Amino acid sequence: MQGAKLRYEHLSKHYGSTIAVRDLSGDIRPGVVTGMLGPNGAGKSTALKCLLGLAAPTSGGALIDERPYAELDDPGRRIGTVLETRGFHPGVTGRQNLLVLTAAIGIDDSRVAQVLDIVELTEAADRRIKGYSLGMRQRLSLAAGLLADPDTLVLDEPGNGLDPHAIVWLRNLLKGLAAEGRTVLVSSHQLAEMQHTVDDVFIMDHGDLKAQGSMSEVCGGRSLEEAFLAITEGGRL
Amino acid sequence: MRTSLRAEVRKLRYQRSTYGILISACALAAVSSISLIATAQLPQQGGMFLNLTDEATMHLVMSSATAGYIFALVLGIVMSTTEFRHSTAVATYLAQPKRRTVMVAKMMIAAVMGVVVQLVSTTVGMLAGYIYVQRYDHFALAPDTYGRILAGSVLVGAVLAIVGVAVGSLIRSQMVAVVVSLLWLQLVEGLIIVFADWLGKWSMRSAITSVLDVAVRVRSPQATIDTTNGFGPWPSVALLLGYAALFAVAATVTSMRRDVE
Repeated sequence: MQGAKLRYEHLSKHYGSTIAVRDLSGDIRPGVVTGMLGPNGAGKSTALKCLLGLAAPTSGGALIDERPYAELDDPGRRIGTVLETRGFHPGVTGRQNLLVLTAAIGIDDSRVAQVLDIVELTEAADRRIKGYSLGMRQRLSLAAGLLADPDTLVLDEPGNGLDPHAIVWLRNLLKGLAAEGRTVLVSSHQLAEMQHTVDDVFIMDHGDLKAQGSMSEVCGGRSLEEAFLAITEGGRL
Repeated sequence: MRTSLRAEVRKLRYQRSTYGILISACALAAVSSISLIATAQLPQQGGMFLNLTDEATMHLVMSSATAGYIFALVLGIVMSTTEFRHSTAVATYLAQPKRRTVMVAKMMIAAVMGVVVQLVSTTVGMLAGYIYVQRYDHFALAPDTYGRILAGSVLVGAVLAIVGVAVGSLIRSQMVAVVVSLLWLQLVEGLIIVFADWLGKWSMRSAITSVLDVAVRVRSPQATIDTTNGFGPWPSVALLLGYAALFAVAATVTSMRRDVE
């Protein structure tokens, strides 16, 4: 399987006078896990939203295989997403929420049972979402992201709410998917966990890209946390 | 488009609010027709018009069974605003990033649901009125009259459901969208019709009144209310379709320009 090539080209996004992302450029390659790392408010989520066509760039752009998300053939099938802002209807069961998605992206309903099994949510599948814990909602988000067996995964803070066992599971899953040739882009502010997960990094702070490259290039023998603090000059976390 | 249509159908099937809205529309339709019949039994003053042996009164009684159209509007609003209230719009637009396609699919399904809401609720309302009126002397309406009332009712249901989707997309807050819509339709336009009929006949409410044939003329020493000055049924149909098109275009253009949060 060959994942998509993701590219940011001088992307900037402003909300009124607030600059969420400033002149972000860089490539995300298939076959590795790329981490977009930085504290809350660094612009990571906004950069992902622009990539996925949910937010319009103020200038520049974000491309997937040289095309905007909206111009891809079957983007819902090709790109799996786990976004913090993605919601589920609380009055509807987990299974039904996923069945809405299978209809929306045009895949077989039988896939729902498979992904529920992968994220170990089968037993709770027929309960309404309002009774789910944060961790269960996050697992459901992961199930939604994996639903179409996509060649590219874009995940925003996927470890939020997961217990240590699930975080290890998630790490192995992401590494395994990348090893199959898929593109995996994950944003996070949990540097200690990302140290063990990502191969390439984008380090962002206050909307600016502070560093990018492979882990060894960016960290230079230091831990990711030490490198981050040095790069952002003791920036906030 | 087909996938978006299927997704919209599933959303409505799975959400309890769909069934709640349908039941509420039926209840309102039944209460409307029965309460008019009951009102006709009260001592009347000032040349009031409610006489069940009169054809116009019986027509009004059965036409009042169309009152559930408010819920077709609410259904459309809920279809849109639920997406933003629970942030499911993110998944919707990730699955189908062509926002025009999503909006068109939503409006198509809303129109069908508006027809269903009005078909079911008006039938229930007319049936309730028909059964209740049997205990009194009354004018027997011709069967095709019921058919015409039903036809007007489903048309209004379809149009208002589309308008509801558009309003919900423009305003996004469910509570605000519902309150603003109902206040506008029931209060503001109602006042415009009564106090400035030259302007009021262009209102949506006036067009609905004409299509549903529920205009009233009350003259009493206390007040005169006349809602019969609107356009005829066919121009009113055209006016309603114009409103639906206007709202649909405004909502679609706006949705294409706004970020999805």
